[in-house]
Amino acid sequence: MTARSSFAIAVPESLLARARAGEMAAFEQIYRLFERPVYTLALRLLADRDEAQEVLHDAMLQIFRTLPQFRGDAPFWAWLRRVATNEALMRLRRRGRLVYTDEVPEDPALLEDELLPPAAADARRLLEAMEGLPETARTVLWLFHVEGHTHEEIGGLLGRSASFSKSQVARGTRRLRELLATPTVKSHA
Amino acid sequence: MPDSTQQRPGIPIGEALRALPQERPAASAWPRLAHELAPRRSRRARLGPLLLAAAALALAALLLPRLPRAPAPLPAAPEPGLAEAADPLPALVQESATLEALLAASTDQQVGSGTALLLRSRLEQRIQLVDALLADPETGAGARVPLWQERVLLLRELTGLEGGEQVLAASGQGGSSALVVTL
Repeated sequence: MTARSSFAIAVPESLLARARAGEMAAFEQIYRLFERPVYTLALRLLADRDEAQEVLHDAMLQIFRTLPQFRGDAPFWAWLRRVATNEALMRLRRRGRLVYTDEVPEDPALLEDELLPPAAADARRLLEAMEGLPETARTVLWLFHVEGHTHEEIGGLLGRSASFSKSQVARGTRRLRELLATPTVKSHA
Repeated sequence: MPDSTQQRPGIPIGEALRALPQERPAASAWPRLAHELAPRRSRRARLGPLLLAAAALALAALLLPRLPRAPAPLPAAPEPGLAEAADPLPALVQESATLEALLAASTDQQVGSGTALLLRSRLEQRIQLVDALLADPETGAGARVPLWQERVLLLRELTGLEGGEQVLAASGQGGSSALVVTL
């Protein structure tokens, strides 16, 4: 997996040091750097702009308040992404629609079939199809294909196994293909 | 130029998802964040005006000796001596306490011209500002001696004001505005 997350922004140590010291201008600079990656991640997982806005706020607030504890063992962006992902997952869990039951693993051959119909080139159609997916599948697809998490990491984030993640990717991809194969997912009238 | 997507049997799902545009929130979350992060800085924010006031006090301390003033009733130590000792802090604290004791014994709030009352009020407010800075745990050790110097200077001014007013009151001129000291 070679996906490069939009979070992967190198933050200068001098900027982090200013933020650790509580400098508001530094907080704001960091916020501006990561506003769109955090919001986009939250929106893709939650498919709700208001909730995505709340995740953006809550994740940033948590980061800024705990910044003195950040030791730099991992890149800052990876820490922020983990916090934002957890905030979004927490909201999904509150909805009660994240599927956590173990499923029969998909046929490994299905995992190889990652191609979507040409309609996937239409961003609006693809977004609508993504929103038509079950929340668990949508979340796993995004974390795997866009954020570049491994199945093991996704399993850890969801409290499940790597095979659970693989299964969700296979099922989600198949469902997405079906949704994109229809003439229109929903009316634009 | 041919459309490559039309020539392919399909688009890899990862490629398609990563090509989706980044989203921007309808409203920036920053103003709310800034408001909520501000309490962490409340102490600093609260001290901001005090620090400015302290700077103004330091400036006033430089100007005060050059301004016309009532004769000081106390044999105050020469001002350069305030900073000459290796550790001037104990002497400053002692002088401050002495001046406060003198003030407590001599201050008569019923006696004094309007000008003197106004000046006394201003001096007392500035002493309160200095006290607030001295009481703050974030005030660095390097700032304590200048602050105590400032406090002593202000107390000397206040003591001199009280002494001058009492002299004027004794001579029947206590209600006049003859005593003019500009800060």
